[in-house]
Amino acid sequence: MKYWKLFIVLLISGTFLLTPARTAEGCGPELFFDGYSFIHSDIIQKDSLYSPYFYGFEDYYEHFQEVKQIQVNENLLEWQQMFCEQASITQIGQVVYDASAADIKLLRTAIQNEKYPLQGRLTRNSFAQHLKSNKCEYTVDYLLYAKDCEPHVTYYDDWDRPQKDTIEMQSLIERGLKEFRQSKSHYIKLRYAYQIIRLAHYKKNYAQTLRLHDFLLPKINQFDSILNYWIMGHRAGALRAQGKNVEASYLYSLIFAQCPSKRETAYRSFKITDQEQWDELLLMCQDDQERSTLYAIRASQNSARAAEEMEKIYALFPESPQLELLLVKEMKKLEKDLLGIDFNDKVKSNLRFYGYPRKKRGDYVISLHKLVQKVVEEAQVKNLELWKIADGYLEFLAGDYYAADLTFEKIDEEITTEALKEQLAVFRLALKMNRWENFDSEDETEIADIIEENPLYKKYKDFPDFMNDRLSFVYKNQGNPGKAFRVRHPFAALKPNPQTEIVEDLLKICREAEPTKFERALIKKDADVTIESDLMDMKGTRYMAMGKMEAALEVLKRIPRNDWELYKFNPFLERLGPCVHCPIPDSTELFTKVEIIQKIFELEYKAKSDYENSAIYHYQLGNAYYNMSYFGYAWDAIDYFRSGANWSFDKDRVFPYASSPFGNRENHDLSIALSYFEQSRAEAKNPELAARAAFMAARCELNSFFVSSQSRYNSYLNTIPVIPPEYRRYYQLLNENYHQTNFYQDIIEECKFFAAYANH
Amino acid sequence: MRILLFGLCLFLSCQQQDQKKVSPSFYHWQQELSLNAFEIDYLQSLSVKRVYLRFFDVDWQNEKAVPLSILSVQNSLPDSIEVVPVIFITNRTILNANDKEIGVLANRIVKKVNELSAAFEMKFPEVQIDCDWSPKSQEKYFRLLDILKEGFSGQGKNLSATIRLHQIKYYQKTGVPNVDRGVLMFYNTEAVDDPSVLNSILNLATAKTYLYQFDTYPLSLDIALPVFRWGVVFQGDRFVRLINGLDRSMLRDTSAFLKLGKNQFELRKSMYLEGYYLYKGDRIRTESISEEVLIEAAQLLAKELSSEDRHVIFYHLDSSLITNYSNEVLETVYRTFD
Repeated sequence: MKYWKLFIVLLISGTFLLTPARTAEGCGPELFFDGYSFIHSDIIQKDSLYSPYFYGFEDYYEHFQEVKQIQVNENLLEWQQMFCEQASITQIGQVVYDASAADIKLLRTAIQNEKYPLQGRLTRNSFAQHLKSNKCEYTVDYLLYAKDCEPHVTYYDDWDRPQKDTIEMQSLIERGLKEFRQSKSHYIKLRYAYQIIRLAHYKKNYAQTLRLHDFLLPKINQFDSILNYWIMGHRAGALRAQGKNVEASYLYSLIFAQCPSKRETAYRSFKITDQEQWDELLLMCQDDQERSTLYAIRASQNSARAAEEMEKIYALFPESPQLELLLVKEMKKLEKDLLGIDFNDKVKSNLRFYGYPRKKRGDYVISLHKLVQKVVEEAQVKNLELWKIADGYLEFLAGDYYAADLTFEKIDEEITTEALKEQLAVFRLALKMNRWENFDSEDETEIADIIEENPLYKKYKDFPDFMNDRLSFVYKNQGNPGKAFRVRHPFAALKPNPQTEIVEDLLKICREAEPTKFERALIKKDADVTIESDLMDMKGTRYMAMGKMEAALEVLKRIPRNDWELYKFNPFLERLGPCVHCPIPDSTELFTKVEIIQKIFELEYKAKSDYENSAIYHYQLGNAYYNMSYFGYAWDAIDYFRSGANWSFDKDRVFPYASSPFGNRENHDLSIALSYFEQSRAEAKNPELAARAAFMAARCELNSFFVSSQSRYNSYLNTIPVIPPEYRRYYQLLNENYHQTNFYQDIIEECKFFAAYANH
Repeated sequence: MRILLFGLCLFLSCQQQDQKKVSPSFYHWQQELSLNAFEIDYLQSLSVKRVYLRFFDVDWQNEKAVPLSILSVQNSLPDSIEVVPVIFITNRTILNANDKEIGVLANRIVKKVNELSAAFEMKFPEVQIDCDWSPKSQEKYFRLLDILKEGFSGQGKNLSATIRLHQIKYYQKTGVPNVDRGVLMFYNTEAVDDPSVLNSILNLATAKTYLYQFDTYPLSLDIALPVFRWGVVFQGDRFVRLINGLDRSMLRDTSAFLKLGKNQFELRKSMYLEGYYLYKGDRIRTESISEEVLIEAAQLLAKELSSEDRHVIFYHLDSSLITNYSNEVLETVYRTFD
């Protein structure tokens, strides 16, 4: 029973491991980076507020909606706390964000008049009910005021941004100031102050913004609120506009440290341009914690060498929460640099498109590891367990697997946090896979156990790719190209360009007396059938394409007869027009590949023995070879995949094809067909047949030219190509020797190319 | 009588030659139009009659095409100088926009250009679209241009589009945009993010390999030439950023910069440089075009072009850049196309 399950699991693995898309955990912009990551965001990420550390601050603008939502959520949470959690976030959101000014006016009327019930969309809203029952008239006045301010401070689509109505904005500021004075709640006063200062800032009256800030804030009792930071942002903006860049950057650094919802915008607004400003900024800071934030901001640049900045942060303020976020961010970068670099076959494209692996990754992992070791030794950080795990993981990434194993072993008992325990187990599993060097049947059973039973293998989506790539690498090194191919690719990926050593290796497995379960999964087609017949077909078909018909027949005849019958063709029809996809008549006799070869042999025999008619037989042979080539309608008799885009030169006639690691081989070679047409033409006593053979030979030459290195022809141009003399010998011959035949007259009507050459 | 006719022919042919006009112009690529006295003098001393003013960029953000870096005008250009609004559109915008969005985008661009030009009190004879289109975006980009042309021609304005060198050599493949004029960008001949490149701004050897098919290219061409410089920062082989205006003379401090080659430097220590914090080990490649190379570029290109009215546009107008080129040199350059 266990083996049966194993069998199924392996089958499944054989399928899903071949899925091409691979993404790194939690990586936004690098969504298509083709590598692996085993760091789980749970080890630090409490919620989406920390996501810039995963996306990277500089790429975070892509997630504008997410940033906006964080602000909304934070704001609603504060409303909820201020109103003693009398209503749900959703209900508060309906009043604060969704309700119209008319809805709020109805609410105010209901508050002012006890007998007047709640009406409209807020009738059943618990927050509205709370405001009514507690007669929170000032709060509702504020909400109405905020609604009136909204059009002047809302982000508009820049295509249709209206002109600022500064007069209306000023009148709103004055109304706000009046209501600010009237309000008894300091919390509501704070909200008025925010609206008023924001209006002045958006009005671009920076002096007024600062004046209002200094006027209003001292009149409000101090308490902890996100609004303090929102207001601070507007003050910083006004200072920046007035040229007080260092002061502005200082405020942005405070916002970065304290206000997650504005962290990303604070990061963007923080701008220090020279050492003098930096030194001035450091002096402005009140303590080392504030100073450490400056280095954290600098470390958040995409181009930062964060280890250098982390050392400074650690020296100033070891408990900095930013320190562990930066550690994780840097480890994620190093994963891209180093994880599986020996066996990831996408390393080149990763370097080309994403700049990984970086050049000095070795030095960098060492410098970060040194810092981590120091931190672990001094034990001053908040989350020491994370640093201990990082110690082992950096050893792993640096390639010191032995040391990594020892470190993981040593700390196994010391890790108490669930998320970190899981993280440690994940790193250990990845390390185990990374250390695989060769396999025997027992190892293959262990692999199956991992796939079948290990929950981490299933949870972490990069494990299948990581494991398969490693398996493929090891199998290749130990001389199993078939297994190496199958663990990474579906069987169908072999067909566009079958590789002999892979076909032979897989055939060997198919013929083993007692293949292991793992091997059986690799060679299974469906039910109890293996891929043996398909492999033989591939081998025979390749021989056919090479013109080695005897060898092809030998191979194909060993396929069970029932399997022959699956695909049939007829390459023996005469097709004078260039139509690859034109259907053949239903009544046409069809042949299996074996029968095609037998018929070819029969025609060859007749051509030799029946001298009178040999020209006809050679013409038929020429047609068969032509029709089975890339240019003929029966191309699929000796190929599995053809792309119309490959009508061009390639030295090896192998073209890139995304679904096959070996590309797509096209059968461009027309030399055999041409030689048969030439034989036919030379032997033909009937000028009509000779003309036909000459014409088909001309087509062979023309197509050979199109796929030669000399050709610059682009079929999209829809023009008559200029063909060098060596590729139009038969057109010339046709023109000179056969212009009096009926065939010549017919073909000059039908074939525009030929007509063009004939006219010249 | 024969002498008279000959004389008349000579006169006419001379007259025809005189009618051909090559005018110097500049691109203005900053977000704020705030020309200082030096820049205005420079324009006037070169008899510049036209400035190509970048009005805004269009990029794809949050699943839609958005206008970015919209121009603000602090002081206007002299009355003698006409303006051509330029809109830079990222290729990813075209790639991402669907058919319907292309139509909407075109209409929005027409509207935005009209709104801004009205707000800036600028009249313009032509609008220019700058987009490095690719084979995948070609069809949609050309449709966008078709709609824009229709929109602007209704107002009596021409439409021009920037053309890259390879788009002339392979124009049968890349296609020719349906616009009134093209502007050949005779720079950025190499990949700026390639660490093995010596000067990505203009490599004449590379440029020469693209000088084909000018005689049959079906669009009248204005010419854009580089008068900018920058530093290209790498970490290892990884491109990090450009530092505009950076010159190798600014990297003379040997305690901070290790000279690796003629225009290659490595930072000996982490430090701020021109507004950016760079790290020890970062490499900088300074790139600029000397006056000699600029003249040679003009000569090389002029040979390929037929004689016709043409704007020679220098990229771009910034006092820190143009001080590196004397009036005489820029005059020699544009007169090469006479």
